[in-house]
Amino acid sequence: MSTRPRALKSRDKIAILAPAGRAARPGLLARAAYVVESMGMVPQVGAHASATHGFSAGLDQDRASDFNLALQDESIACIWALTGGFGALPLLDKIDYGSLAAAPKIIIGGDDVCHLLLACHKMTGVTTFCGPNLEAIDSKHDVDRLKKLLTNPDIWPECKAQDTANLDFAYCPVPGEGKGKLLASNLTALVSLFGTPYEPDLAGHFVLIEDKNERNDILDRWFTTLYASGKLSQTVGLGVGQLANCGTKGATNMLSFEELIADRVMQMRLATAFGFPFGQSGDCNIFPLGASISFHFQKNTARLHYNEPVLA
Amino acid sequence: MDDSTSFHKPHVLKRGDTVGILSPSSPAFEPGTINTSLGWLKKLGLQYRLSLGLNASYSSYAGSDEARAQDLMRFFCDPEIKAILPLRGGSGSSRLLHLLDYQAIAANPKIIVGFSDITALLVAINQKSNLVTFHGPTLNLMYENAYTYSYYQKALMSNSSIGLVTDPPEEQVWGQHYPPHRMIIAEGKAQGALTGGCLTLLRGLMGTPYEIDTRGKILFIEDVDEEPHNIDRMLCQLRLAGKLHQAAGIIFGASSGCRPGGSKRNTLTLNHSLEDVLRERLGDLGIPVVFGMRFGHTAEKITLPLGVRASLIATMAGVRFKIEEAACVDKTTSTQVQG
Repeated sequence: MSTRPRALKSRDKIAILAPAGRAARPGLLARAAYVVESMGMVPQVGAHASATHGFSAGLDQDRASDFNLALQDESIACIWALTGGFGALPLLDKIDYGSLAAAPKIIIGGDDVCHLLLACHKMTGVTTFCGPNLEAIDSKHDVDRLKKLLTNPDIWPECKAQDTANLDFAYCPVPGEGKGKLLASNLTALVSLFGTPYEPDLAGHFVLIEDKNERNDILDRWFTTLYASGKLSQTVGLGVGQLANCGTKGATNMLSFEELIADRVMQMRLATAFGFPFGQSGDCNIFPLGASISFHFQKNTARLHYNEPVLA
Repeated sequence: MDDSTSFHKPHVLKRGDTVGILSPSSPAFEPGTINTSLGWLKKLGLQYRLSLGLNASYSSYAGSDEARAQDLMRFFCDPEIKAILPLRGGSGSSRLLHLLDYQAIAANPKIIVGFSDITALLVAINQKSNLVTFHGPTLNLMYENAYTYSYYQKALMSNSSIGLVTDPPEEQVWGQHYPPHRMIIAEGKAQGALTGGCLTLLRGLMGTPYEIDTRGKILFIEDVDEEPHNIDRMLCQLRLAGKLHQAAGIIFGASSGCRPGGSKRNTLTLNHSLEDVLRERLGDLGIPVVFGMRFGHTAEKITLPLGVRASLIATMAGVRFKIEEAACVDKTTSTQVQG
């Protein structure tokens, strides 16, 4: 069973870190701190959040050091990534997993930060949280909604997939239901851990994927890795979240991602649904890695229930 | 001198032989270009057969996975076909790997040559069928220039080793040329069998039964039109998996279009360069690492046989890269392979 970090409470300290890309501008960093304050928490910005080295916020050792200091600081209840980009992957062999195992805390992020979420969960068994990076949160409604989740030590509310905001419809090419542990990740990041010591265990897991800015055939490349590895057949179900700015990119002969994965999920009879509120935008949900869930996919509806509390 | 490796070698390609043309990945850009390529085959004195699905189309792939896999297996099992020449790469060959009969391929060793997306087939067949495979031009590119063609011939049409690898003659390369052909990222000396290919494909095989084995090998890597931060992520994956430390040496190809901002001349070119990435991720491995040789997506291409012994010496005195062992055998003359 996954180790549950403690639910947040008022005046808890949240570390705002940039383990991959840097803060694009000071205004975004200030706004992230404001979002944390608006939740009634206390922000603490990592030393290298605005540093520059190539495409990342400082050198590998600088970003790893910010992350480890936050893990080791018992006064910090939560690490929330400011932004994604590139650069979380080379930190994985520099992370102080022992400190996280000894003192579990909430770690939240998305996009490239998924590398860290998956590795921290794999190496410690602590539940980590895939959701919007702090800079993506841009409405009072989302501030309140996410605060409600992170402060909730009871069973989290059910989550349903929806193709479009104003219709109660979800596309489920393979209906089915089952139970499993939740594993949510950016698809590119998930596959980037394959073959490494941080490769996630997918057996018995319900896998939720999203991606951004990728052409369909590139998404299919990484889905093919998932399939060819034999790991997809060990999963109990597949959910697809936002595929923001993905598509054919003008290649009119190219099929959709829904079609490109269809032959394989149908042949495997792997329960599959599209449209989960999972991705990198601020209106997305937070999904706990390792949480015990049940799913029910029928024609036109897809729901996901938590079987137990996510936070202690 | 011991020339033996554990790999089967295909029979050398000769005038009069029949080659099989197929598209295991994407179809031809323009149908008419196939005829041009077939014309070149005639000049080589080669007969050809076209696969059933050569012109099929399914999304970005040349037909369904099953049809493409069947075309490939049919050619391997057909004794009349001496070499398999994919028309081009593109995408989709990774989707075939679980559909191939690797024992049947091992029982029918023959040349297969390509690059880019074909990397997946080259690595899988090299490792699962213990067959020497060839990272070189696809059918449409073997005549791109004299350098490419000369290495194609040396690799496929001779039972001698390719020997010392030279650079394209300077008169063919005008103006500034970056990267130079033999930029040293790390000094050292290495010996081992060759393996490698297009980085995007090598990364896609990680965690699958076809994951590349780099232990004690000289690993060659290249890619096309990838931003340096993407190259960085893929190299970090291989690095964390131990694939880079396990290699005896690394040759990173010139990799056309892998500049910050792609091929666009704009301010993005100020970003971290591919060379920066290579120095950061490959400079401290303790093995020789060379950047800039021409294979894969550059116009000049060396044909590199996977599974064949080579040596790499990178010192301040220069870089020496030699393919020590023949890639093909000629059973009709029964001559001993030269090292």
